[in-house]
Amino acid sequence: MSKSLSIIFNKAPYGLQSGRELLDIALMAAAFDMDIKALFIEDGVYQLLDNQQPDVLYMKNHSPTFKALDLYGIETRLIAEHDLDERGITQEQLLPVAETTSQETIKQVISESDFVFML
Amino acid sequence: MKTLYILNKPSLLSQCQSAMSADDGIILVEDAVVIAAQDKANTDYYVLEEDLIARGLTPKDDWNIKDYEGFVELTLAYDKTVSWL
Repeated sequence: MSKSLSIIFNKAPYGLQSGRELLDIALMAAAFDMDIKALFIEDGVYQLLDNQQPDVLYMKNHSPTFKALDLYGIETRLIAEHDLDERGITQEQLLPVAETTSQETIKQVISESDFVFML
Repeated sequence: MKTLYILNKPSLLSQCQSAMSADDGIILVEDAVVIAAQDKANTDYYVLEEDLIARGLTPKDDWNIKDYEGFVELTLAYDKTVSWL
């Protein structure tokens, strides 16, 4: 059976390259047939905001690449609803690439994963 | 001395605040701009416009928005700046 890997996004984009790098890891690992879960918690929910324009900082917008998670067969894509609410963000403001869920579910996914990556 | 604190990580807000005195100011830059969009935000904070736009965050009317030029002017209005890292 293939090993499962949870990739946890917990930081806002562009201050660091961690969002972009985790995304690369997710897509690469999926190409090697690992069972990947993408989890968006805490400030990581800002990774999915629509209408990002990092060109004003002379940086590349990596957010459209989140749409590739589905194409690469990464079916588990979860956002912590509590963390969205806490930040006053609604799902309509996000790219339609992941679904909201409880913290309990996120905890369970993490505990059942063979590997967990954060950056 | 009147000090402008420059904060670039949202996780360091409370540390930074505990170092601040009454007439000090704080400007949120880089990832710390997300603080402005949260309930705990104080409207006295300055927020760097370019970093909001980059992250797809829409400024609200009661925020003190500064663009890069405004940021430079702001640093001149204080005796010194501290980059809280």
